[in-house]
This record gives sequence, C-alpha cells and structure tokens, in this order.
Amino acid sequence: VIIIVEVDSEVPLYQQIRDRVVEGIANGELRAGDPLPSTRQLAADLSINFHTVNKGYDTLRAEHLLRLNRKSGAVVQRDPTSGPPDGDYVDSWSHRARTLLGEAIAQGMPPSDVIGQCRNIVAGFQEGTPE
Amino acid sequence: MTTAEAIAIIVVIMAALTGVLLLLPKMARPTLPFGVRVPEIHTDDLVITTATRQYYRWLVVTMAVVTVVLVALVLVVPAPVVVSSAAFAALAAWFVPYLSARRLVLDAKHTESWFEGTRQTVAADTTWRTSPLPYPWKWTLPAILAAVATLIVGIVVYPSLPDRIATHVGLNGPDEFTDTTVWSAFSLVGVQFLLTALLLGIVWVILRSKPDLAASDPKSSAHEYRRYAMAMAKSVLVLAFGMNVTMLLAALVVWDVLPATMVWIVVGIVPTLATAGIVVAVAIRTGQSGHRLHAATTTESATTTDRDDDAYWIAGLIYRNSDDPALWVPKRFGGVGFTVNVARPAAWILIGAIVAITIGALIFAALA
Repeated sequence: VIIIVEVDSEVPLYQQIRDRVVEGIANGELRAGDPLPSTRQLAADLSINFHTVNKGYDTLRAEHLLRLNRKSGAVVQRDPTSGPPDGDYVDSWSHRARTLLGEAIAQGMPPSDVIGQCRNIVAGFQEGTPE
Repeated sequence: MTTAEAIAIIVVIMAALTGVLLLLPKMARPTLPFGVRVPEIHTDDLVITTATRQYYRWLVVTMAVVTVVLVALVLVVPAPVVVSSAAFAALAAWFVPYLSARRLVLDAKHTESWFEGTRQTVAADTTWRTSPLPYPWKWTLPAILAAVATLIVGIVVYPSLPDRIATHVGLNGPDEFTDTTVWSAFSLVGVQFLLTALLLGIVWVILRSKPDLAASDPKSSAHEYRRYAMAMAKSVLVLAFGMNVTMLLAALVVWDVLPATMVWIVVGIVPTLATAGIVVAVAIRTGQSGHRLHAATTTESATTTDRDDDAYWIAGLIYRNSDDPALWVPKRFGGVGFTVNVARPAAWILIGAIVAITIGALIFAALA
C-alpha cells in the first residue's frame, strides 16, 4: 500500500498514517497477516521522526487493527473478512458517525445526498479502489 | 611523465569531467532542477530553461579556463602534482555554474511563491520494505570467479616467481620493482577481494535505499524506483567483474605470465572502461531514481506537490535532517546515486573512516 501524508495538514502526521492504514485494510490492499514496515523504515521512507510512526502504529494497535511485537514487527491483525467487530465497537463508531453526518446536515447537504455519498464511499472500498 | 604526456592526461581528464557534468541537469528529477524543489506545474517554466542553458555555457567556459590554467601550471610545477589535482580543481570550479544556475531558480521560486496553495505530500510504498528486491546473487558470480581465478593462478605461479617483481608498469614497460614476498605478489588479489566486498555492499545499500517517490504519481514512481534499483545493482556487479578482470590481467603481467607490452596494458584497461560505460549507459537510461523510465504524463492532482524540503539541503548537495532516521538518501543533483544524512552519527563514522583510509594510504605510499 502507498502511504501518502500531507506535511502541513491540520491532521497530525501520526493520525494520517493511521488513517491511510485503515483505508488500506478497508479496500483490501492490506489483509490480515500482511506485514508493515518497521517504524524506523517507514519513518525513513517518509523522512519523518520515527516516534510519529510509533504513535500511528500504537493507535492502530489500540484499535485491534495491528499486532506489534519485537520479533515479527508490525502485522495487520484483521480485515473485513475476519468476522464482525468486537464488543461495543459499533456503539463507539455510530457515536463518531453521528457527529460527521450531523456536520453535513448542519451545512445544508440534503439527506439523500449524504446517504448517496456514504453508499459511494462504501462501494469504493468494496471495489478495492483507493479513495 | 613528460610535459607532453601530462598535458594530454589533463586534457583527457578535463574533457571527460566536462562531459559528465554537462549530463547532470538531464539526470536530475524534473522537480529538482539544480537541487531546488519545484512543484510539478513549474518544471517547464522559462526560468528553468534559462538556468539550464546558462549552466551549460558557464560550465564549458569555466572548464576551458581551468584546463588552460592547469596546462600553464605543468610548465612550472611538477607535472604529477598538477595531474593529480586536476579533478579537484575541476570540481571546485563546477560550483560557479552550479550555484549561479541554482540562484536563478531559487529567486524565481521565492519571488513567485511557487509553493503557495499547494498540498505538500510525502509518499512511501510499504511493499518496498515488506517484499524487498531480492539480492541478485547470481550476478556476483562473475566478479567472485575472476578474483578466485586470480588467486589460483597466483598460488600456481608463486613458487616460480623471480626474486623481484614489478610494482609499476609505465608506458615503456615495468619501471619499478620490489622484493617478491607473499604481500607484494598477492597485493592485487587483496585489492580484488576488498573491492568486490565494497561493491557488493554498495549493491546492498542500493537495494535497501530510501525511494524518493513523486507525489504526483507515487504508484508508477514506486514501480520505476524498483526497476532503477535493480538495474543499478546489476550494473555495479558487472562493473565489479570488469575491474576484477583488469586486475587479473595486471597480475598476470606482474607475474610475468603475460608480456609487459603496450598491447596488454591497453587490453587490460578495456574491461574496466567497458563495464564503467555500461554503468553510465544504465544511469543515463534510468535517470536519478528511475524518473527517466516514466512513460505516462498524467498526474493524479495538479495541486499535490512534493514536500518543499529545501531547508534540509545545504546548497542542494548536503542533507541534514535530524528527524529522518535514514542514513542513505537519493542525491538531489549530481547524477545518479546516494548521499548521507549528516545528522546521523553513522554518517560521521563513515566519513571518518574514508578520511582515515585516505590519509593512511597516503602515509603508506609516502613511506614505501
């Protein structure tokens, strides 16, 4: 997977790394068991501090998307085919989705457009096309 | 060395260097003219064409002046001193055309705020690390076999060597001799093995290097980088073979297996020159980081540019970024290849080792 980060973005770099990996898993470019580069290697390839990559990987580990260990490095832990999400994941996700979708409604996007956009994005992930 | 020989050597060195330095603008990425980071939409700007033309003109004039000065110096200073400093003089003089062309591009970039309103991005391909290029072991065999063959011939002929063997072969045959010992007889074999190890190490660095992917099209850029790295790796191993064959022939002359005639001296240099020619041809074909392999002209987004990282590059030549864990990084300007991140302690260990080896070799040569 190609990880692209925007240097001057308001979104912190570690968050961008985390987001790109999540999208890579969603569109099938990354599957459960796939390795990712070590934090130093990815930091070197992006010319950024390796603590930043560490933080991004840590976030993914806390979300049970990445397994980190000293021996095998960083490995993708789950993908869409690994079964339903655990425990209260759906609750926390709908909480965040509520805010994001609410933003669109507040800005005056017609509800049908909001649903249409959601459908397109999800369909995009299923076709395996990035972005 | 006669004065006429010295002048001939100086003219050849200067002509070759001028030729290589004239190639540099074509070898650099279009987004890095004269080591200045430029957004893709400005790569065809008039100022860059102007700067490139000025570089060509000034380079030819500067090199002509340096050549005249060196030739004049041969008449007053000992010729070997002048000849051995010719390359340094040429490289020092190169800064005149380089820095002035660079200045033109930098000024335009700043006064016209080329990076304003762009999305500056950096891209990395995770598969470059997770499924790296395999080391081309088969390609190391010719070089290793040539060195081993030299060693075997050496062991066979050693008992029958005369008491003294040549250490230097001039245009009129061998002109310097030393006592035959294991050290003096096998010194070329030692150099062969050291050089082979060094070039194998360089290949490893190339295959594990940090790719500089173009932000506008990271996917094809990553593909081109893979082709570039493998092509450079293989051609360096071919060069190792060529150099080892040259040293094999030189050893055969030293051991009196081949006659020390002009014919064999010329034949001996051919493998090195030919394989070095292959490296140059491959480098010209690929360009730095393989950008000249780029076929498609479509860009994903006109507003997405490479990160403006000029601040990390001193004069566009020396990289210093303490955040970046990378030791080896692709050069910005200066043909195809790599340079070190001087913010890494390992870079200073490396530079220290090179300086120590150079000084050591000079002292050793002076004592001997």
